[in-house]
Amino acid sequence: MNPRAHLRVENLVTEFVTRQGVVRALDEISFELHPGQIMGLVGESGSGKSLTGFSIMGLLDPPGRVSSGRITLGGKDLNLMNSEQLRRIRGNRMAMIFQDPMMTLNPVMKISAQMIETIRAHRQVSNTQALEECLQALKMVGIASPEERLNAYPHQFSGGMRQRVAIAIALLNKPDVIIADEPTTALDVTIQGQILSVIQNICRQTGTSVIWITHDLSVVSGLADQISVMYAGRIVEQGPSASVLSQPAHPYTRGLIRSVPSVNQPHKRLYQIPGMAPSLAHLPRGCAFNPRCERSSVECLEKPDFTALSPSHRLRCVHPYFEPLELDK
Amino acid sequence: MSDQNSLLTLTGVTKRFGKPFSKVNLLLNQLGASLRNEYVYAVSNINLQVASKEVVGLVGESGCGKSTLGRLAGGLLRPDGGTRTWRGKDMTAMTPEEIRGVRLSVQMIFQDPYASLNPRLRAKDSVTEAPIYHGLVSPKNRDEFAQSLFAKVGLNPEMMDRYPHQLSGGQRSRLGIARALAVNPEFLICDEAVAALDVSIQAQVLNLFMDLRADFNLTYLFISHDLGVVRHLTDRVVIMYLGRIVEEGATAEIFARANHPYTKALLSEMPVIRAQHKTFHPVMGEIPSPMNPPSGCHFHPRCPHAIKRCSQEAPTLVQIAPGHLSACHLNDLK
Repeated sequence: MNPRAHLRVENLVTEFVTRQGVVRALDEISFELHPGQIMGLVGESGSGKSLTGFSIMGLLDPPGRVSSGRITLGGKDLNLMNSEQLRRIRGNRMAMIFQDPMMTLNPVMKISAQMIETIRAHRQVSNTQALEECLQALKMVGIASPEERLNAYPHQFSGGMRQRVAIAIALLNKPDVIIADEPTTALDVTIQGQILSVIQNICRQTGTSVIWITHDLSVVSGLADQISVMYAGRIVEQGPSASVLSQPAHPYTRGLIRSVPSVNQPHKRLYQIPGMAPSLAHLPRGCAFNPRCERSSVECLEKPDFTALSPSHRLRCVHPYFEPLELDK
Repeated sequence: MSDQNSLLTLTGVTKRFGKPFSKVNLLLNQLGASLRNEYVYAVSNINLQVASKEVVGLVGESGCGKSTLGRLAGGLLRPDGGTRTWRGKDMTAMTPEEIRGVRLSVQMIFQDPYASLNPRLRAKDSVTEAPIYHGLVSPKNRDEFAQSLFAKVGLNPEMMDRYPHQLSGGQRSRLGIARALAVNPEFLICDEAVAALDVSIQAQVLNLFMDLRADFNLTYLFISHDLGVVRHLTDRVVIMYLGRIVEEGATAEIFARANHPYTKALLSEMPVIRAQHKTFHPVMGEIPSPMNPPSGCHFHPRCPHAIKRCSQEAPTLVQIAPGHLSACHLNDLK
């Protein structure tokens, strides 16, 4: 196994130029992903978590653009690459899996053709060699009798199986990083468990690292090594999963965890974060969470910088909680 | 549970979907061919009782028939077999007038309020359409009535003149609830009503459901695949697999002492916030197609404890503890 490159994102800013002016959709996103690590990127709709994935993959459509910051994979700066160089990296060193595999798989091509296409776009290999690799990948994601399934069309698979095929395609060129955007949201719990187990095994065996984008903290809590919580285009808290979940320090993270039914006593009122998520075009001054926060004060009208709770656990808040979160369960 | 206490009872209810026989096939059959109809049994021979003021959760994975059962309970579908009784009275024996009364008493809330709200009606017209039609409110009092409904579900009265697309997800979902409440129902059937909402909005809507229950003595049938939500909200849970009930009982009992291997599998896969790594050991296999369900116990091909009998004979629901029913052959071995 080759040593895997690691992904580093530094102060990534993504903006959209609109008639109302420039909207900053991602604001100084930074994280580092070591080989074999799984990072959960958690946030509610509109917080910019999928956009982070697209920005890293170089898949932003105008008027969106990465306006500053550095994204490096194995030390190479992706922002400095031209489109041909990027094409060689996408689907090869970095791959992405989406929520709905029916949208990403070509409905009129056999699975085998789509898989071979992916291999041949990056490497010159013989047809038999490519087929062999396809079989390997399908076996790895747990598809039964892969020889027969290779000749099937996407509509002949169930939802869970289709997602496995999408993961197999992402794995074909043994990428360093896989960005998985809500890949189990549309699946049933038993099928979701199967996909999580596949991903967990792949990371352990191949050293591929994964960014797992989700709105559901409980899905990543058992899976991820690190968690980054996003709110209104910023990472508000990040650190090792155990630390973030047992000692959430940002009021938003705490609110998110407390509002999940399974951590509360049955029939008890759930904690409600007051108010609604702001529109990115009219972000509140300073900390974007301050109008909804029970701890907000004048200091919150200034944009908070990262403060470190421990060497690996940091957050953007001037009034963090230092005590662990006591849960009913 | 006594029958007097029961609000809605479904007895031996079956619903199948399929193509009706074509004339050619009928003719061929008369000539001696043995062609059979291809039916999918979405719900087969199910008994369900919901007591007054009770919250019953209906849990299962896609294709297990939980939405069909909800629609049967709500009267949107007509069963192919079995009976529906409302307050102990068989609904087939009711007068049209009585049936209309039951229809108003049972209201449904759907997963996607955007799809179930008329996009060309303003919020206040959506919620007042039904009560005005049924003569519960006079058109003159429309605004006043809408305002009181909006207050009940915590919607800002400024939203009254908005169209569905001008509302946020959480507001639309409240509007869907307001519309159901407009005809003073006793019984709400919520079909995945919070599935599409963000965690923080979901918490608001679940709190609203709990408040409404306390304020208006409502009875709920809460259909969901989210076990965390079901555990939080319900008194009793019914677990379905491929058109059959596999286990039912008091919520606390089921979550503490699940009996059926399928229920156990569901509970172990339930995503829970935990501060340590979990190694996933999922149940293998797919949910089989309801077109061609496995013989015997529908769960046996995926069941880690299946014995020979499981593939031959369908288990019946038997009481294994007071109020706790399970359909599993393994219980006979104990």
